Formats: sequence, C-alpha cells, structure tokens
Amino acid sequence: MNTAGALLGSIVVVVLIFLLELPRFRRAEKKEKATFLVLLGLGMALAVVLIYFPDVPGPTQLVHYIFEPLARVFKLE
Amino acid sequence: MKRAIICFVVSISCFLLSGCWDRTELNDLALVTGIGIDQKGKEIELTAQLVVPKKLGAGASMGGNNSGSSGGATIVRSGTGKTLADAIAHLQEKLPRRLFWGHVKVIVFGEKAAKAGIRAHMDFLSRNPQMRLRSNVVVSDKTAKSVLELLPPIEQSSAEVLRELSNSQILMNITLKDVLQMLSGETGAAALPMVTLLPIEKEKTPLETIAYIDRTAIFKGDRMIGSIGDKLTRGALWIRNEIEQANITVSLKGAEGKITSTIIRANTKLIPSYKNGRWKMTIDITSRDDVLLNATNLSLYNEKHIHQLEKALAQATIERVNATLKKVQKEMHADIFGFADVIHRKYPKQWNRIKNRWDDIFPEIEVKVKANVVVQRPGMNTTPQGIPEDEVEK
Amino acid sequence: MEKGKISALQLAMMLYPAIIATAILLVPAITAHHAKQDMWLSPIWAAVTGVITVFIAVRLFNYYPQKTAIEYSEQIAGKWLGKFIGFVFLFFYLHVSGIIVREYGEFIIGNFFIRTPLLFIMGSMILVCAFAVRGGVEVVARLSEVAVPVVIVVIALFIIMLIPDMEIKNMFPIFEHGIMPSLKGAIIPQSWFSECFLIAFLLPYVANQKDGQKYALFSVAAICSTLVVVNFTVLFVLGNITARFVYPVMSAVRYISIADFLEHLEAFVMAIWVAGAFLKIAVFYYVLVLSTAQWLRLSDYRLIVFPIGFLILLFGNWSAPNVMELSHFLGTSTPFYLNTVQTVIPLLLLLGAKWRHRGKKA
Repeated sequence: MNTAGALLGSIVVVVLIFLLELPRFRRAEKKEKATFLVLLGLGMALAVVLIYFPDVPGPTQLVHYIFEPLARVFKLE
Repeated sequence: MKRAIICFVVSISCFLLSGCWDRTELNDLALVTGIGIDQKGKEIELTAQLVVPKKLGAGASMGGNNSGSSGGATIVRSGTGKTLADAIAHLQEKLPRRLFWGHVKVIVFGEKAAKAGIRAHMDFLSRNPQMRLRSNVVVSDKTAKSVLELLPPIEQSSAEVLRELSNSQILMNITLKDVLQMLSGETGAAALPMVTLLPIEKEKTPLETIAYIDRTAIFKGDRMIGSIGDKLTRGALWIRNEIEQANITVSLKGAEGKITSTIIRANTKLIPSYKNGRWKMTIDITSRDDVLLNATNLSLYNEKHIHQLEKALAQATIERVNATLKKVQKEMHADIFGFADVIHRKYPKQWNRIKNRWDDIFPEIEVKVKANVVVQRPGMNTTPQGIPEDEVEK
Repeated sequence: MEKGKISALQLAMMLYPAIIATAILLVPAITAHHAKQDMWLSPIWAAVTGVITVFIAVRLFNYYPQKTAIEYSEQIAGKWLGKFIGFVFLFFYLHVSGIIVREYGEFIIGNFFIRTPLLFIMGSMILVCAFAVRGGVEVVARLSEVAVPVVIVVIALFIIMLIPDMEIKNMFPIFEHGIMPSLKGAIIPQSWFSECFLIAFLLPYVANQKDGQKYALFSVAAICSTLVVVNFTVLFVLGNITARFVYPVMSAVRYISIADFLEHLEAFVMAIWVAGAFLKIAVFYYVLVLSTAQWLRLSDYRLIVFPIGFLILLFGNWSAPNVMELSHFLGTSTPFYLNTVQTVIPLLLLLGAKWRHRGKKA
C-alpha cells in the first residue's frame, strides 16, 4: 500500500468517526469530549507511526520479551 | 447534517458493494479436474486437465443424442518448471483463464516422477488452500499426461473415471490425506494405486479409452521402488483390512469343477507379539461369504460340503496373503501393511527402542496368517443347476 | 453507565463463543504438536484454569457486588496501584482484541480471500462489532443467544458427517510418554480458558446474579466438551498429520465427502468462524470500551466506541508482521501473558480483598 493512500485513508476514517459522532459529541460532557479527542488523536498518531515505520516494535514484541523466558522453561517451541 | 453524513456513508458503500475487488467470475476460471506430474530430465512437467464448459453443458443436456461422443469435455495443458509451483506459473501463461484447483479429483504421478520422490510435490499440494485432501492419488505406468489426455467414452473426464475406480475399492483407494499420513507415519513406506491404459477397441480413436487401476506402486520413503500386480495387491488389501469386494474361486477335493464365492464382510486383525527379542505378527482374518457359482456336483445344503468349502476358501485366502508377504516383506522390505503402527500402538515402549532399526527388523518379522471363513448363504440355488437330480452329490 | 440487564444464561452464551471461536481453529494444531495422540485429553486439563478463573471472578464479585474488575481493583489496591492495574487490564484487552481481529483476518485471507487487503477484512469486522457494542450489553447478549445455537449445530453436523472417515485406532497408544505430553498440550488451551475472567466485567449486569457462577461453570463445561469432541474428530480423521496443518478443523471439514455431492463445505466453516469471531470480538470490544469509560470515570461509553475500534484495528495490524510470528507468539508467550493478566492478577486482587475484609463476614 502506498504511504500517501494509507495516510489519506486514516484521515478519512478519523474524520468520518468524528462526523458520525458529532451530534453525540455536542451533547457530551467536557471529560467525554476530551477522552474522545485524545483517543482519536492517539489513533491518528499511531496510524502515522505505523505508516512510516511499519516495523516499529509493538506490544507483542514487548510481551514476548517479558514472557519468552517462561516459554523456554516449559520448552514450548 | 446527520442526513448529509448518512447520505455520504451510503454513497461510499456503493463503491464497495459493486463487488469484491479480487472477484473472479466463473467464466474467468479454468476448472482443473486432474493434475498430472511428470519428471522431464531435471524439470517437472505439470499437466492440468481442464473442463471445457460448453462441451460439458451440451453433453449433459443432450444426453445420448450424439452417440458416445460425449468425450471432448476436457482438454489438457502442460507447463514445465523447476518445481511444481514454477510449472504452474508457466502453465498459467498458456491459459486465458485463471486456474482453479478446488475441483481437483485426481492427482496422477508419472512413474519417473514417482521414482524421483514425491515429497516436495505433496507439500505443495497440501499447502495450497484450494486443493482438497480428498483428491485421489494414483501413479501412472507411463506418463501422467498420457492418462489425463484420454477422453473416456462413458464418464465426462478421465479424472472422474479414476476417482470412480478408486472409490470402488477393488484395488487401492488412496487420497491425498492417506499419502500424507503414510509418508509421515512410522512405517517409512507407502502404497499407491497404479494405472495403465486399457487397450483401445477397434474403430475407436487412440484417445477413446480409459486408464484403469491394475497394480500397486510401492514407495519407500517418498520414492517408488517397484510395483506389485493385482493379485498381490488384493493380498495387501486383506492385510490392511481394506478389502471390500473379492471373489475367491476354489476347487474341492474329490469333486470336479470349481466354486466361486464372494465376500460380504471381512475383517482383519493384526496382532503383534514380542518374545525373546523376536517380533511376531499374527494376521487374523475373518470373512463371511456368499456362494456365487457352483460348477461342481456337490449340494451346498450339506454341512459337510460347506465345511470343506470354508476350509478351502480360508486356505486360498492364506495363500494370497502369503504370496503378498513374500514379495513385499521379504523382497521389497516395504512396510505398506502398517505393522509399525500396530506395534507402536501395542508396545509403545519397545517401539521407541526399535524404531530406528525398523527397516532391518521388518523383513525379519515372523508372520503367521490365520483365516476363518464362514459361508452364510448359497445364493438362489439349492442344489447345482443344470445337471440331473441324481448326479447331485447330496 | 450501562443500564442494560442480561440473564445468566446469556452470560454463558457470551462466554462460549468468546473462547471457542478462535480456540476451535487454532488450538487443535498446537495441542497436537505437543500431545500427539493424547490431544483429546488436553482440553480437560485446560478447563481447570477456566474453573479456577470463574471462582476467582465470582469471589471478587461477592466481595464487591455491582462492581467490575476496574472498579474494585482501585478499592483493593488503593488509588494509584489500582489505576495501574486498571491500565494493565485496558492495555491487555486492547492488545488481545487486536490479536483476535488479526487471527480472524489471517484465517479469512489465508483460506478464502487471498488477495483482499488485511486492513479491509479487519476494518469491516470492527465496524460491525462497533455497532453491536454501541447497542450495549443487551444487544451483544442477544446476538450471542441467536448465533451460539447455530454455531453448535453446525459443528455437530460437521462431526456427524466426518464419522465415515474416522479411524479410532489413531488415538492409540494412550499415554505413550506418560501424562506429560497431554499436560504440555494443555498449556495453550488453558490460557484460552483464562478468558473466562471476562465475566468479572459482565457480572454486575446479570439480572439473576446467584446463578452467575453456575452458568459460567456450565459454559466452561460446554467449551471443554466441544474442544474434546473437536480434538477427537480431527485426531480420528487426520491422525499423525494433525499438527502439520495450520487449521486442522478446516482441513478435516474439506475432507467431507458424502455420496459425491455433499462436499466442499468449507463455506460453512467460514460462516461459523465469522459468526463466532464476531461475537468474540464484540465481547472483548465491549469489555474494553466499558472498562475504559470506568477507568476514566466517564458517564457514557458510547462516544469512545469508534475511536477505540480504530485503535483495535491499528493494534491488529501492529501485533505481528506475519502469520508465522503470530503463531510463534501464540504458541510460546501467549499462555503466560493471558494467565498473568487474567488469572494471576485477579488472584492477587482476591488475596488483597480477603485481607481488606479480614474479620468481616463477606
């Protein structure tokens, strides 16, 4: 997938989510508004990171790093 | 605003709903019914038997109208390459439609390819998500291509013929799954049905015939080392407990003519035993038969004659099995009977010690064959037909 | 926040697909790899974890009625540590949801839509789940109630249709290398059973709470027996090559052929897999959204459904570069990961709760 397309795609998704939730967003309390925007922002940021650096180590690698010694003890290979 | 958004989303989904982007219509697909694999020097030749949809439709709707020439419903195309996948790529170049492997009924190996080893091909065939483990596998005594290009007079394709013949279980019936199990099992040997061309009848074109199963190819590891004929194959079927249909003809002492009986139900048990460092295998066969033909003058309503017949049938069965054992166990050293699995199941501990030496142990195993035949029904006749009553030996 | 109520039976029906959906396809191969012909025994050992987890969740719930795991971990461990434990749960469910979505996508692509982009498959599934989650716990529960019986019937039909191809001798010798291989084969499935901890987030919305434990255990038993029967089936049909297939159930179902026309049934595997995965993802997604809202003390969770769905999609994409690493991860570290978060942490919480309630009658 080309980078520009992916970037455009994620922007479209984020904007769509925003527009879709706009009526509810208007009615929501301040805290919810903030959470909504922060989560969307996090998503967008993560999307950008993943588009430019698709091989950046993720949670799986972290978890694997923590628990792999245990897996070796049980010889699960 | 909300309406505008909904309209927007709905109109976007129109683009998506027009179809999957990797859709393939049926008339863009080339349905493969049979695969042939041949060894050509160092290269692999892959032959695909393809359905010609027009012909297939016509043949089905017009029925017997164009007398006997329903052939021509399939064509074959070949491609060569270093591996099977490579060969498929070359084959695809020669076809206007995409190859579709979901309907492969039979996989044919040419004898040369079988002797060169089939493991790599098997991996490809089972890895492909379109391929089915149910496909029958056979070995051809010539090339695989020569089998697939036939245009059989009755069935729509030679692949269908081979599938039906395999399923009839008169000789070996082996699917892709069975081959994989045999190759990765403990025995280190495999048996595959082997086909040959039926001689062509007069006034028929050279392709208007079928290939039929008449032998069994014996594999050690993934290479074919030889073959056994139909009589010996049936012996092997007895041992493998795969016998479904069999007619046995015997002659009784003190009577002229022969009696043929057919098997209704048969069961074989392999019982291994281990004593003083020597392995023994008892093959215990029980079968229930019906009489098919009685050309003697013996009345089969006499219990004495029935017992005599049962003994003779048992003896004939034992002889068949022994002939197979002699050839396959003593000469070819190939455990196509699954002795290894039986020993593994019954003596798991001892098996772990001997499994590395199995190739040396297998030919040395002492095999004892027991058969118990029960004749249940005499068919529709009481006493032999076609002879005067007083000549019948009651 | 969540005003919906579900019945205890519905709870069991939500739990069943939440474990079965992925377990049925991925676990037989992993179990067969370790346990060989004893693979049918492994789910029985594995169910022990399920039972323990259910007990822990129910005990905790009895100490803190009407509270979910996020809420009572703050009361047990104090504000900051409690918040941290809550965050671990959130991160865990986000990550695991991503992995489940990825498993779903990989199966669909590996077997059917070879050239369709992964993101599209995962995205469309998350979108559908998002609508269900926005509907609340009642909607998810009713969807389970409708779909689970269908899934069970289809699985049962597959097994019946495979009977002609079964070879019982494949299960012998039993205990060839003692009991250990079957225990080892249970390590992976038992971690799937730890997902029973999901009930800790759902129990407060159960109407007949007294039956909660009974039905949750009933669900564990149903899952266990389904896995045993499925393992028997693939073992009898495929025998020694079971471990060689990524999806043994799929390969076995493709083997079905009755009277030369009842064949090519894999579309039904896909159907139950899509239905099961949908429920599984919906349940995890719901728990994740609800917990996030509770963790942040929001008054409504509906607004954050879509942003979190977007995050799940990204995590699904992020969780593994390819199928091999995904299965390697699932086959090695996952059991410890799942057990730590869903069995060990709740156990510690339970000990903490006991300590806090010492002297008092619970």
